[in-house]
Amino acid sequence: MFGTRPRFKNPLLRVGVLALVLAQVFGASAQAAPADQQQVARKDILVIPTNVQVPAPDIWNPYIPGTFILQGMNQNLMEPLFMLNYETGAIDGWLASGYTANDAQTEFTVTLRPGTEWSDGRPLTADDVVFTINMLKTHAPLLNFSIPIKSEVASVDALDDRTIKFTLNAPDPFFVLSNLAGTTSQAIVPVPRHVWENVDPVTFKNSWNNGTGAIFSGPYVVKSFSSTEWDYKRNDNWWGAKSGAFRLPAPLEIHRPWIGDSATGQQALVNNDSDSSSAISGMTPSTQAAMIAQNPKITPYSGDLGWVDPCPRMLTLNTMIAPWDKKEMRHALSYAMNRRQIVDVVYEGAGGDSAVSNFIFPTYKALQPYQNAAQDILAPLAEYSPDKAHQLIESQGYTMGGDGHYVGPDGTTLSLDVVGPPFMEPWGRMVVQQLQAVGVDANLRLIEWGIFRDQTGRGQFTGAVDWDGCGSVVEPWFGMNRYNKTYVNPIGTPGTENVDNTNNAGRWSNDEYSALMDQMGKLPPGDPRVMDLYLQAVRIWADEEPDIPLVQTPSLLMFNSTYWTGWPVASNNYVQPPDWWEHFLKVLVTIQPAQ
Amino acid sequence: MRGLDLSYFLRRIGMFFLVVFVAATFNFFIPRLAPGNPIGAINSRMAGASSGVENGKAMFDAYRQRFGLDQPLYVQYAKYLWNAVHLDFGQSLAAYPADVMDIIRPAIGWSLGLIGVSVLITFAFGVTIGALLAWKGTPGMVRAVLPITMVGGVLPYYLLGMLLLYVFAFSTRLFPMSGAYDSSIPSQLSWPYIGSVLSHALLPALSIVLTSMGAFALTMRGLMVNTIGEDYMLLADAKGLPKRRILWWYAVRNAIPPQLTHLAIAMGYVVSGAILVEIVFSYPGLGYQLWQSIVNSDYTVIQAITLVLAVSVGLSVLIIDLIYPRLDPRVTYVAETSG
Repeated sequence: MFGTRPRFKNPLLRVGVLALVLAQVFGASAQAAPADQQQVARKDILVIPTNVQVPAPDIWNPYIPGTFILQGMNQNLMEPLFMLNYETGAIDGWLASGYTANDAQTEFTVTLRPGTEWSDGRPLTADDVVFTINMLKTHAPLLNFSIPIKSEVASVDALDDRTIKFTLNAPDPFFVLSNLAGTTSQAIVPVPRHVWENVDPVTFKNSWNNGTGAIFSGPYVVKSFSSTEWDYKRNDNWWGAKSGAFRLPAPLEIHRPWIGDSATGQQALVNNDSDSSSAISGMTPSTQAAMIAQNPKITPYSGDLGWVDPCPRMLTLNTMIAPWDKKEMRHALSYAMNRRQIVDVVYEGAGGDSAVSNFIFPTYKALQPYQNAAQDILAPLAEYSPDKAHQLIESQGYTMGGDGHYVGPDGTTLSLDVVGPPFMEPWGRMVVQQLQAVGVDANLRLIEWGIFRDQTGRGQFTGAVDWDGCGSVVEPWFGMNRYNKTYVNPIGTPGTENVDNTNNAGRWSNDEYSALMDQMGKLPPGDPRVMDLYLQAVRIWADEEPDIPLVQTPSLLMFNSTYWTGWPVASNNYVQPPDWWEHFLKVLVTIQPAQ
Repeated sequence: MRGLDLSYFLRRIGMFFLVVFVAATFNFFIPRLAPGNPIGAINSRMAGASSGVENGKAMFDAYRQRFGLDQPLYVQYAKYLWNAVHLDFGQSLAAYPADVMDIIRPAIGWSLGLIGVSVLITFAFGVTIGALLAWKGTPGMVRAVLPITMVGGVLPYYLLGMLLLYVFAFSTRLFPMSGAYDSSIPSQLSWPYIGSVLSHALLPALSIVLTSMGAFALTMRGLMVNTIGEDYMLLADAKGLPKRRILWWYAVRNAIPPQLTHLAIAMGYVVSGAILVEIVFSYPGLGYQLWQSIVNSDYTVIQAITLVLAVSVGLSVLIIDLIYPRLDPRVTYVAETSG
């Protein structure tokens, strides 16, 4: 029967077949991947849903800007040279076994692990890494990572099969962290020279192409895909296992379906149709508890607080627009924020006082010494005092009007237009409500994510609820340097973006602070001189308060232990738990069958 | 053709092309009037994946030039019109370098397959139920049952969809929870593939049929009530014609033309998809695609989808308009145009 031409006599069946034919005729191009008919039992499949549909699923080129990589390309197929472990604070080697730097921080020598191979069995050597870096330099600014690589890397050479030497134009102690490890989701990954050397990488889809494309070095290869689901099968010949560097992942296959609706994602997890909560947004402690009550095999990262996202929530102010160019007015807004109330309402109290934020850092172990050292300086930034807010506003010549809003000397009402993407609505509503309570006529405008990013990047906003300070996870400079005056552009000019938000969207410019950042940026992470510079910079930041810190961001991640155990949870935190980041490779080689 | 002359035919065709041209022009300018831009959206997605854009302006300018967005608007508009005439919609700006047609062609197929057939089934059942509700000869038991089938009409698509998913996908596991087909099955006309497509389509189709049927049924009932009071119905009854023949050939046939216009418009909108159904069932239709392209300011995809939408609605209305004299002999454009 399989493959033969069916005959349809029933009229109703004819209508159904007509629908099928339409779908077949129009939809054929979306199903380019050949399929493997071998059926694998559910217990051997890892199911990680995604909440995004990909319009062009046949593009597997991670260097084209905007290419979707979170359908598994980032977590199953590609491998970075290094990855940053938030839990330990270390830069762990993956394809590379380690690196050394010269004292001037201008030369970095990276050593590949023995036996690295591509998924087609050909060796992955230093030559491939050199080719990838030169490809980025040649095609700047059109490729991801190409701009910093072109500006920073003077030359890259293969010293031998396993050793790559990067020579920089200027000292950069963060070169490996920023580019080869990646502070959050993605880093530069090598691509196979034998596939890429004769193509235009700006238009090369790297599509499946009957198995000849989409060659990476990870432990899985593409099995089949469509715009709504992706299947990967284990590469039993993976170099990592053959060489003894890592354990061969236990799941024979990984299934990544698109689940567009959070409620469906919750049901899928409860019903063991999913192994992770990645397709569920807006989780609250009560929803989590209800799900666990239905399925005790659901394993939360930890208690109510969950995993802390690296990006605390903030109220960003455009410091080029009056009256928010005055630090007194910014402090006033800070005093108006009842952060504990935001925690109680938005997070249902999850984390309690520990979820209140007074700076740009997440509550990560490696950052704790820095946070503790500056506690006296930063504590007032989380103080809730409507009285102080009133005093500061009135000190700037504002008087309370009859409608409960302050009026300036020129007769205009003190107002603040706050923008935010739709998913920031809960935080935004609280901020606006609390500003209204102290007499600021604030309103919240929700705009689509892409537009929000474009407008805040261009400085075409007054206030924004976002996470503009995030970036530091193991050391203080990366996030703090985002307030460097070098990133300040005139209003209307596109922003300088990095790590999930716009650098210095509020366009705060402080010479002394920026000079300190420049000095810190020349010191390698962990250098004892960093602490003193850091404290000086924190004093300036706290005195100026360019952005208003709000709250930490608890992320209630959950895993399903019905089929797989060994998940990265608080009690076994061998790596950060997001399953959409490159670090998930470490989870893949760790989890074990539960049955 | 009876009731239709060449002059009316040509004027109607001309009007169709005018409508498409105006729609195409609006489709070009409206996305560009909205805040945001495609390159900004690309940058935001890059930063969302944390790859970072350390000098956004250099990349921004480079891609604006590559996409031709740095050219004067009238140049972009002229190129767009010229290319649209040749059915060349270019490359997606958000999913570069994918061709726009490669993105929307599959989505059109799934939308036509799922929503088109669902609308036809909805029409058939809705019209039948409406006719039977108004017909005196319908058995009391049937008349009591029929309104129950319209309960779905008061439920939102997505709510019914979630209920169906809970019962048939999660609790009983009779149907899959997401997607349009099992991607591990080769996409060729074979029984496993057909079975996969049908099993994936059944729940979303059911949610559309159950929630939309009521509108057709209630309208049809009202039309039937008017028709049943006509003299020719009395005459047919007096002539002793079988009740079934009177119902279908006299009552329904005369009551149905306005419903066909309703159907034509509904069919035209099929290509715009049913976005909530697509999200709840993770179905890869055109509605979600259009929404995504708007969010990403993907001008070329927006232009292509909305043009397809304008053409399909215009074409559906044109066809029903031209064949109306055949469907209802009382209608003639000849008299209207000559008189």
